[in-house]
Amino acid sequence: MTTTLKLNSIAFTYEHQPVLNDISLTVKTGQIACLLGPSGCGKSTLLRLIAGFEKPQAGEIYIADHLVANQQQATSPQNRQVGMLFQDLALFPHLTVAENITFGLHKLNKNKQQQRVDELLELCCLQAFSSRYPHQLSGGQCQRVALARAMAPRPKLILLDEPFSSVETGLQSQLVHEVKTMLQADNSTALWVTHSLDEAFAVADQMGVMLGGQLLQWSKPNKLYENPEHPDVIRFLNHANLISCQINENGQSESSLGQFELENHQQFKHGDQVKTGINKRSIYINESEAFNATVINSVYQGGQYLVVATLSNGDAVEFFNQDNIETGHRICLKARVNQPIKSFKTN
Amino acid sequence: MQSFRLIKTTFFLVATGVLLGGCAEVADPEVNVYSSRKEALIKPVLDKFTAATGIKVNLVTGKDDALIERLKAEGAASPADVLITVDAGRLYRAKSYGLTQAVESDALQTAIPAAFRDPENHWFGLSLRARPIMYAKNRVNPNDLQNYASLTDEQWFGKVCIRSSENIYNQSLVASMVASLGTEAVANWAAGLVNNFARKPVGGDRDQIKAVAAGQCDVAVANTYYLFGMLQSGDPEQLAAAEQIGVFWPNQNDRGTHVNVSGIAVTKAAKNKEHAQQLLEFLAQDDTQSWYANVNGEYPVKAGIEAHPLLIKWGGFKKDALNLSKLGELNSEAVKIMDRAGWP
Amino acid sequence: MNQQPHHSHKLIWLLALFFGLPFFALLLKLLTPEAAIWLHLIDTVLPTYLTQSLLLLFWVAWGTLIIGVSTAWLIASYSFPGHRYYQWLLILPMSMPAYIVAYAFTWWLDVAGPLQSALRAMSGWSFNDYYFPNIRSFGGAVLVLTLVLYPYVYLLARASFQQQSKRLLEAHQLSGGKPKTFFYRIALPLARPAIFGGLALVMMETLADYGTVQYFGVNTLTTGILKTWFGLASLSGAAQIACILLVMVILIMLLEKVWRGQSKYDVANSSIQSHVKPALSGHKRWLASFWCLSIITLGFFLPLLLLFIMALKSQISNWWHEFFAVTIDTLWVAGLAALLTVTTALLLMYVKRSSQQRSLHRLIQAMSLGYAIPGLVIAVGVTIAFGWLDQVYNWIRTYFSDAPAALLFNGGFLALITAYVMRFLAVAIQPLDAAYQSIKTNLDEASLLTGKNNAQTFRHIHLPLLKSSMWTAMLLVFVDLLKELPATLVLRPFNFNTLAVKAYELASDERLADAAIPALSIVAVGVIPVLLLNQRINAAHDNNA
Repeated sequence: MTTTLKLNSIAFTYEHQPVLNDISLTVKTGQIACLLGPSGCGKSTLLRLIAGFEKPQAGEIYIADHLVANQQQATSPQNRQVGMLFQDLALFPHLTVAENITFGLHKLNKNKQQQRVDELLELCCLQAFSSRYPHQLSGGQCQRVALARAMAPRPKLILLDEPFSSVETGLQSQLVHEVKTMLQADNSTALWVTHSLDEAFAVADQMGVMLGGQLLQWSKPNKLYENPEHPDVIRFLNHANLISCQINENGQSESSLGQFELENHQQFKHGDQVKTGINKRSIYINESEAFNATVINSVYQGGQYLVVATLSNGDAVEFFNQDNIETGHRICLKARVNQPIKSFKTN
Repeated sequence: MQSFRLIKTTFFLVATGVLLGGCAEVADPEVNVYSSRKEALIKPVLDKFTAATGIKVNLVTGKDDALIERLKAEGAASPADVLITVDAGRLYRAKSYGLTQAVESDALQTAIPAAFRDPENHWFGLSLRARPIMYAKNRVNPNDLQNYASLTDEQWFGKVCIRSSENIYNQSLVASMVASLGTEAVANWAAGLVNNFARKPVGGDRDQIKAVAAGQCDVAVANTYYLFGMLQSGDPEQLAAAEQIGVFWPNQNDRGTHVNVSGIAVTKAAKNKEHAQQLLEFLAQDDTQSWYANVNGEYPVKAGIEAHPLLIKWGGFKKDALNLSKLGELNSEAVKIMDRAGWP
Repeated sequence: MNQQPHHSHKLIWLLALFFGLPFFALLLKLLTPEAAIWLHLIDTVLPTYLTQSLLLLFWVAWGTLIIGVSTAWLIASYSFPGHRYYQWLLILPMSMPAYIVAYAFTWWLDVAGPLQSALRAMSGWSFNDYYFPNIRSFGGAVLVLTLVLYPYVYLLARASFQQQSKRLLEAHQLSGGKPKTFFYRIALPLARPAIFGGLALVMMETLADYGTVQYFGVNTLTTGILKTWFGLASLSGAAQIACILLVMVILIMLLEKVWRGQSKYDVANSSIQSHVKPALSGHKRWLASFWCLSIITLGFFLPLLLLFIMALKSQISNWWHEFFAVTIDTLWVAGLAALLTVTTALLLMYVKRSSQQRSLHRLIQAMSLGYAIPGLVIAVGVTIAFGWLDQVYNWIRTYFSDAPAALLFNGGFLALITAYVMRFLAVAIQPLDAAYQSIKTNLDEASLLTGKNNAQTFRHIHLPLLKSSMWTAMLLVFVDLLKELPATLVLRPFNFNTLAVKAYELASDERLADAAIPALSIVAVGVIPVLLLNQRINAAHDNNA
């Protein structure tokens, strides 16, 4: 597989505020890659750097093995062969659907243009709407037109900037599916920025979590769950609890929930204080042992309850339980872990 | 890229202009006139000139000082051959800026009395504009009037109408008084006159005349051709108003009534000097003089040419023989005096 | 936004140099010390000029505010007899040059005018037996300027009121507010930026007015400029007074920025808005109707009628022959100058959008100062500056030929149109700036990403989206140009006249009846673009809704 996008130690500051710090990643051709992160983490800025609207202060950007930007020089956006789906779509209000899609096809002759437009109209199921104006379309239709416009010139890379942030929740999953289908049908390579976990996991071949201008991890989606490389990845994915533990003489991490084999035990020595990531689903109530936790909240979540309890050391633990447990109830919690897990040093 | 092309195009156009401007010179005989006399008043006589000589006249009209400023800025490149103004002071000013040149012409020197042309023959008066006192025939006994100075007498308290000090005719009138009476005397006079105002100065000379007719004031100072214009207007209201007005010639026992001229000068940059001189001489001819003055209701500057019958009805008068160059010299002095007197 | 250096930025500096030269010429004059004249001025007339200018500004601002906002509110919110017609009739006074309304009112109301003469004839009174307000006074100037300038406030306030969502009124009522207080507590504050935008235009027009104040004998700073230049033969002194004027204008611009800046509301309505306006009840509807009718009558129909009567008394019999050519000349010069003004404004706004350089933004702001400088002062600056350029030109020319020196820059349409563009650039910038700001920058980015360059983006995205505002700007400038007098008077080439010049010459020759004919022509050609303008603004509103 060839590489379509390669970022090498990108740094960017805006008005003396660091926005991006040492970002490196690659996107392979034909893949959909997702950048996940809360708003303000710098992920949209990264897209603007890749598109060429901003210039990095350090690092290099390669698109299809061509250097398009480094500290000294930058290829202008129109010469990067990059398409973008904007957050607010940025459809040209004075052009029809067909004209919007044709807009970037000025290098083709009329026949080829028509051919490509027809192809895309079919792909986005808008043949009947080709002569309508954007304000005559529904939100979802606009979305597809915007994507078709970005895809039309067959860019090397398509950037999607939170494409569904303004769409109703109910519609999102359907649109995500449509967009994914369109991208795959056209064999596009895409870098998709979002703050929605569901959206990211629904589309991503490769995935990363950004926080405070740093890329915490860049890997396959399942690796994020199974092998998080940073406690903040766990916090962001919110699938596991970070429990304060101590390393015992066997290199295991130990707390009142039990003792756990560590994947990265070489990093620690006996007596180190660590945070260990324990999946919410691994935690259960042990009726027979002494109480180590107090329930502080319990929420019904379709068939089971998500229970929050505090351990005696103050750590909050979330886990699932078949039955409701009343607030204030004392319980004993244990964790059952089948494979080595990760711990992180506490500062 | 596009803007680059634009710059190139502009440069090309300028270059073409330079070359074309250099070539296209030979043309029909013409003379270019800057005139502060309004088009309606000057155009007919210029058309007559063209008809008589075949020389085309190009005209642009405007305010005197704006035209002088334009001449100054254009310098030697100015297309203007001739400057026509309605005030000797402005001709003096143009001369003092070095914008005019002398014209040695016997025809002009014999036709135009010395007082009404520049001592060095830089400019020549074409018609005389007298500024007498006008009064309401039914309310004022002309024997009560004497001269400009006596308008400050107590009997005229609240009865004098005159236009604003911004106006050149008043500036020239005051300048002529400064020339004969001195600054201090005129300053006192101006203060006295302001004290006698019937109203704050508004409008032009016609408005002062109308105000006399309407009874707002008893006496006004105005140029005669405005009264002439009202009598000729064909508008019954204006006619009715004008007929209530009498003309009094002030200062007949001393220096004479204040007169100004509409005048003409050949510019220093003139490219068609010969044609310009032809125009000047044409304007000084007997028939033109008579026609030019009669159309505008002014007095011919050339001695022996009869004025319009209406003007004759108001009687002959003694003119202030002051050389009109003085009006230009003393103009700013006059303005300052009026400012200080609080003459709006 | 883009890494490529914009050639258009270089062009802007070139343009600024070109348009800046006349300002520079005035500045040089400014630096010539005129201590004696200043002492004299401060001692005598300057305080009057200053206070009269400030008072005029104050009263005209209040007058236009009250008339403009009240009519805009009535039209935007209620239905009452005739409201459909008033909606467009109310902007007609815009086509009336203030000085022409002044001529008409003076002719009618003066001591010797038909009204007072008839009064005296009927009652047998003589002048001192009755009181009659004097139109040629400070109050008269305020009245006339207010009547012709209020449409600026009306237009902008109306558009703003109409864009406010109905929901606001509903929310106001739900939170227990009385319908009456809605105007003061919600609608007015929301429309404030628009109202001040209009008011700033009014104030600049007022400061730059010469024709009206001169005719009415009101001594403002513009009168001072002329009197110092002409009477005291001191152009430097005049330029220095002009500088006071300029400072006042900059203050107004800053004030507008402060007023506007604190309140950048987005008043765009949320899609649905019913156009059914509540009907006013009982006597209120007639009161509203009467109020609008009186304004229109005073500002448009009465002056128009008076001009007609005056024209009938005119001695000019073959007026068609006299004025047809002048009308054509006026139209083509105004059209060409409007086109160039809008093009320049477009270029400036494009650069403003594509550059983050502060210096460029300031430069652009400075270039719109011309609106408040009296046309005459601009004309002087242009004359002097172009005089320099002509000297350079002639110096080069001597290499090519030995023909006598000639003019390239001065004395032709170049000088005249340059002055026009300088003076009215701000008028074109206003709508274009607003329109440009409403085009989101990511449309540009979307276009660039498809491989189009800046010029193509400008042509295919900006131009189509700005088209409507460009028309608005064109019409606004065109109407202003039809009325322009002082700069035309000073700069026009040989054998060229405009209607305004004709009207002025005849009027200053005290032939008001004759002046009425070109005056009527100005109104006749001015009404059409004004009506088109109204239509555009309404259409824009319908599109938004």
